[in-house]
Amino acid sequence: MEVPKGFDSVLHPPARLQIAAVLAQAQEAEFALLKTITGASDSVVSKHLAALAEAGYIVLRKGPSDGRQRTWAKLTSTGRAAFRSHVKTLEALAAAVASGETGGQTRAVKRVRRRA
Amino acid sequence: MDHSEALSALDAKRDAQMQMARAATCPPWRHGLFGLLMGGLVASPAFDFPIRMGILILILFSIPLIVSSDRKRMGMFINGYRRGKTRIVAVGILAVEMSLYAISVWRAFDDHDHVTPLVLGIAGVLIGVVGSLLWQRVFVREMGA
Repeated sequence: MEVPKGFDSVLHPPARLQIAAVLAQAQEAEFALLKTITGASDSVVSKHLAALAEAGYIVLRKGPSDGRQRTWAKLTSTGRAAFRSHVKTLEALAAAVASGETGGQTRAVKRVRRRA
Repeated sequence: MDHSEALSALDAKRDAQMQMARAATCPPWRHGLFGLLMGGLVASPAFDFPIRMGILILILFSIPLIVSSDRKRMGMFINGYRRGKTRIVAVGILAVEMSLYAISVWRAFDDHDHVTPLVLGIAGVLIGVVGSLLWQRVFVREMGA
Protein backbone atom coordinates (compact mmCIF):
# COMPACT_ATOMS: atom_id res chain seq x y z
CA MET A 1 0.00 0.00 0.00
CA GLU A 2 1.24 3.47 -0.84
CA VAL A 3 2.51 5.80 1.89
CA PRO A 4 0.70 9.15 1.75
CA LYS A 5 2.88 11.53 -0.19
CA GLY A 6 4.40 14.14 2.10
CA PHE A 7 4.19 12.13 5.33
CA ASP A 8 7.41 12.78 7.23
CA SER A 9 8.49 10.43 10.00
CA VAL A 10 10.99 13.03 11.31
CA LEU A 11 8.19 15.56 11.84
CA HIS A 12 5.67 13.03 13.11
CA PRO A 13 6.32 13.35 16.90
CA PRO A 14 4.00 16.15 18.13
CA ALA A 15 6.81 18.10 19.83
CA ARG A 16 8.83 18.21 16.59
CA LEU A 17 5.76 19.29 14.66
CA GLN A 18 5.20 22.05 17.22
CA ILE A 19 8.83 23.19 17.00
CA ALA A 20 8.58 23.29 13.20
CA ALA A 21 5.24 25.16 13.43
CA VAL A 22 6.87 27.89 15.54
CA LEU A 23 9.97 28.11 13.37
CA ALA A 24 7.82 28.30 10.22
CA GLN A 25 6.45 31.61 11.53
CA ALA A 26 9.46 33.09 13.32
CA GLN A 27 12.84 33.83 11.80
CA GLU A 28 14.50 32.24 14.81
CA ALA A 29 13.33 30.95 18.17
CA GLU A 30 15.15 30.42 21.43
CA PHE A 31 15.40 27.08 23.21
CA ALA A 32 13.46 28.29 26.29
CA LEU A 33 10.48 29.38 24.16
CA LEU A 34 10.40 26.03 22.34
CA LYS A 35 10.56 24.27 25.70
CA THR A 36 7.60 26.29 27.00
CA ILE A 37 5.54 25.70 23.88
CA THR A 38 6.16 21.95 23.69
CA GLY A 39 5.90 21.51 27.46
CA ALA A 40 8.83 19.07 27.30
CA SER A 41 11.93 18.86 29.47
CA ASP A 42 15.31 20.31 28.49
CA SER A 43 16.69 16.92 27.49
CA VAL A 44 13.64 15.98 25.42
CA VAL A 45 13.68 19.31 23.57
CA SER A 46 17.42 18.90 22.98
CA LYS A 47 16.85 15.46 21.48
CA HIS A 48 14.08 16.72 19.20
CA LEU A 49 16.23 19.65 18.06
CA ALA A 50 19.15 17.32 17.40
CA ALA A 51 16.92 15.01 15.32
CA LEU A 52 15.58 17.94 13.30
CA ALA A 53 19.09 19.31 12.79
CA GLU A 54 20.37 15.89 11.73
CA ALA A 55 17.63 15.71 9.10
CA GLY A 56 18.74 19.12 7.84
CA TYR A 57 15.41 20.69 8.80
CA ILE A 58 16.80 23.23 11.24
CA VAL A 59 20.10 24.92 12.03
CA LEU A 60 21.16 25.60 15.59
CA ARG A 61 23.40 28.39 16.80
CA LYS A 62 24.62 29.61 20.16
CA GLY A 63 24.29 33.30 20.88
CA PRO A 64 24.81 35.47 23.96
CA SER A 65 21.79 37.04 25.64
CA ASP A 66 21.73 38.64 29.09
CA GLY A 67 25.28 37.44 29.64
CA ARG A 68 24.41 33.80 28.95
CA GLN A 69 24.87 31.57 25.94
CA ARG A 70 21.50 30.57 24.52
CA THR A 71 20.56 28.16 21.76
CA TRP A 72 18.61 29.51 18.81
CA ALA A 73 16.93 27.38 16.16
CA LYS A 74 16.06 28.33 12.60
CA LEU A 75 14.12 26.39 9.97
CA THR A 76 16.00 25.61 6.74
CA SER A 77 14.32 25.73 3.33
CA THR A 78 14.33 21.90 3.32
CA GLY A 79 12.65 21.91 6.73
CA ARG A 80 10.08 24.45 5.60
CA ALA A 81 9.18 22.38 2.54
CA ALA A 82 8.97 19.18 4.61
CA PHE A 83 6.79 20.91 7.22
CA ARG A 84 4.37 22.26 4.61
CA SER A 85 4.15 18.90 2.91
CA HIS A 86 3.63 17.02 6.20
CA VAL A 87 0.89 19.41 7.33
CA LYS A 88 -0.87 19.04 3.96
CA THR A 89 -0.76 15.26 4.38
CA LEU A 90 -2.16 15.51 7.91
CA GLU A 91 -4.95 17.77 6.68
CA ALA A 92 -5.73 15.38 3.84
CA LEU A 93 -5.82 12.41 6.24
CA ALA A 94 -8.03 14.32 8.65
CA ALA A 95 -10.38 15.28 5.85
CA ALA A 96 -10.44 11.96 4.00
CA VAL A 97 -11.95 9.83 6.75
CA ALA A 98 -15.50 10.42 5.62
CA SER A 99 -14.70 9.00 2.20
CA GLY A 100 -13.08 5.88 3.72
CA GLU A 101 -9.80 6.42 1.90
CA THR A 102 -7.51 6.30 4.90
CA GLY A 103 -7.45 2.61 5.83
CA GLY A 104 -4.72 1.57 3.42
CA GLN A 105 -2.71 4.74 3.98
CA THR A 106 -2.94 4.25 7.75
CA ARG A 107 -1.39 0.79 7.54
CA ALA A 108 1.34 2.05 5.22
CA VAL A 109 2.18 4.97 7.50
CA LYS A 110 2.36 2.64 10.52
CA ARG A 111 4.85 0.48 8.63
CA VAL A 112 7.00 3.54 7.88
CA ARG A 113 6.85 4.63 11.53
CA ARG A 114 7.94 1.18 12.75
CA ARG A 115 10.91 1.34 10.39
CA ALA A 116 11.74 4.90 11.54
CA MET B 1 -1.66 6.97 11.56
CA ASP B 2 -5.40 7.31 11.48
CA HIS B 3 -7.88 10.13 11.27
CA SER B 4 -7.80 10.87 15.01
CA GLU B 5 -3.99 10.87 15.11
CA ALA B 6 -3.91 13.31 12.20
CA LEU B 7 -6.44 15.50 13.97
CA SER B 8 -4.50 15.42 17.23
CA ALA B 9 -1.24 16.27 15.38
CA LEU B 10 -2.99 19.24 13.76
CA ASP B 11 -4.35 20.26 17.18
CA ALA B 12 -0.81 20.17 18.60
CA LYS B 13 0.36 22.39 15.75
CA ARG B 14 -2.51 24.82 16.29
CA ASP B 15 -1.84 24.88 20.02
CA ALA B 16 1.84 25.75 19.38
CA GLN B 17 0.82 28.56 17.03
CA MET B 18 -1.66 29.94 19.57
CA GLN B 19 0.97 29.91 22.32
CA MET B 20 3.37 31.58 19.93
CA ALA B 21 0.83 34.30 19.11
CA ARG B 22 0.32 34.97 22.83
CA ALA B 23 4.10 35.15 23.36
CA ALA B 24 4.42 37.54 20.41
CA THR B 25 1.93 40.06 21.77
CA CYS B 26 3.78 43.37 22.03
CA PRO B 27 3.40 45.83 24.92
CA PRO B 28 1.90 49.27 24.08
CA TRP B 29 5.31 50.99 24.18
CA ARG B 30 6.52 48.78 21.33
CA HIS B 31 3.68 49.94 19.06
CA GLY B 32 4.33 53.53 20.17
CA LEU B 33 8.03 53.22 19.41
CA PHE B 34 7.32 51.95 15.91
CA GLY B 35 4.93 54.88 15.37
CA LEU B 36 7.55 57.36 16.60
CA LEU B 37 10.19 55.96 14.23
CA MET B 38 7.81 56.22 11.30
CA GLY B 39 6.64 59.69 12.31
CA GLY B 40 10.23 60.82 12.89
CA LEU B 41 11.17 59.77 9.40
CA VAL B 42 8.20 61.59 7.86
CA ALA B 43 8.81 64.76 9.90
CA SER B 44 12.61 64.81 9.42
CA PRO B 45 12.61 67.09 6.29
CA ALA B 46 11.15 69.85 8.50
CA PHE B 47 14.53 70.26 10.22
CA ASP B 48 17.90 71.62 9.20
CA PHE B 49 20.53 69.25 7.87
CA PRO B 50 22.32 68.35 11.18
CA ILE B 51 19.08 67.63 13.04
CA ARG B 52 17.65 65.80 10.02
CA MET B 53 20.73 63.58 9.82
CA GLY B 54 20.58 63.03 13.58
CA ILE B 55 16.97 61.81 13.30
CA LEU B 56 17.78 59.50 10.39
CA ILE B 57 20.83 58.05 12.18
CA LEU B 58 18.77 57.56 15.34
CA ILE B 59 16.11 55.68 13.33
CA LEU B 60 18.78 53.58 11.62
CA PHE B 61 20.40 52.58 14.91
CA SER B 62 17.04 51.97 16.59
CA ILE B 63 16.13 49.14 14.22
CA PRO B 64 18.76 46.60 15.44
CA LEU B 65 17.99 47.65 19.03
CA ILE B 66 14.29 46.90 18.51
CA VAL B 67 15.12 43.54 16.90
CA SER B 68 17.41 42.70 19.82
CA SER B 69 14.78 43.80 22.36
CA ASP B 70 12.10 41.68 20.62
CA ARG B 71 14.38 38.63 20.66
CA LYS B 72 15.15 39.09 24.35
CA ARG B 73 11.54 39.75 25.37
CA MET B 74 9.81 37.06 23.28
CA GLY B 75 12.56 34.52 22.66
CA MET B 76 12.00 34.90 18.91
CA PHE B 77 11.89 37.42 16.12
CA ILE B 78 9.04 37.56 13.65
CA ASN B 79 9.79 39.35 10.42
CA GLY B 80 7.14 41.96 9.62
CA TYR B 81 7.26 40.93 5.96
CA ARG B 82 6.63 37.25 6.70
CA ARG B 83 4.34 35.38 4.32
CA GLY B 84 0.65 35.65 4.98
CA LYS B 85 -1.96 38.35 5.41
CA THR B 86 0.39 40.35 7.64
CA ARG B 87 2.53 41.09 4.57
CA ILE B 88 -0.35 43.07 3.07
CA VAL B 89 -0.53 45.14 6.28
CA ALA B 90 3.27 45.65 6.36
CA VAL B 91 3.46 46.69 2.71
CA GLY B 92 0.42 48.96 3.21
CA ILE B 93 2.04 50.72 6.19
CA LEU B 94 5.29 51.14 4.26
CA ALA B 95 3.50 52.50 1.18
CA VAL B 96 1.51 55.07 3.19
CA GLU B 97 4.52 56.17 5.27
CA MET B 98 6.75 56.48 2.21
CA SER B 99 4.06 58.53 0.44
CA LEU B 100 3.89 60.86 3.45
CA TYR B 101 7.69 61.09 3.48
CA ALA B 102 7.76 61.96 -0.24
CA ILE B 103 5.16 64.72 0.28
CA SER B 104 7.13 65.93 3.30
CA VAL B 105 10.39 66.11 1.30
CA TRP B 106 8.63 67.89 -1.56
CA ARG B 107 7.00 70.49 0.72
CA ALA B 108 10.15 71.15 2.74
CA PHE B 109 12.72 71.29 -0.06
CA ASP B 110 10.72 72.73 -2.95
CA ASP B 111 8.36 75.07 -1.11
CA HIS B 112 10.37 75.66 2.09
CA ASP B 113 7.27 74.70 4.04
CA HIS B 114 8.38 73.32 7.42
CA VAL B 115 4.93 73.03 8.97
CA THR B 116 3.42 70.44 6.63
CA PRO B 117 6.19 67.85 7.33
CA LEU B 118 5.55 68.24 11.07
CA VAL B 119 1.80 67.73 10.58
CA LEU B 120 2.48 64.76 8.31
CA GLY B 121 4.93 63.46 10.95
CA ILE B 122 2.12 63.40 13.52
CA ALA B 123 -0.03 61.53 10.99
CA GLY B 124 2.94 59.19 10.44
CA VAL B 125 3.09 58.41 14.18
CA LEU B 126 -0.63 57.64 14.31
CA ILE B 127 -0.55 55.52 11.16
CA GLY B 128 2.50 53.67 12.50
CA VAL B 129 0.82 52.89 15.85
CA VAL B 130 -2.48 51.84 14.26
CA GLY B 131 -0.62 49.82 11.61
CA SER B 132 1.47 48.04 14.23
CA LEU B 133 -1.65 47.18 16.26
CA LEU B 134 -3.40 45.99 13.11
CA TRP B 135 -0.41 43.86 12.10
CA GLN B 136 -0.44 42.16 15.49
CA ARG B 137 -4.19 41.59 15.34
CA VAL B 138 -3.94 39.99 11.88
CA PHE B 139 -1.03 37.81 13.04
CA VAL B 140 -2.85 36.62 16.17
CA ARG B 141 -5.95 35.81 14.11
CA GLU B 142 -3.84 33.96 11.53
CA MET B 143 -2.32 31.86 14.32
CA GLY B 144 -5.83 30.95 15.47
CA ALA B 145 -5.48 32.61 18.87
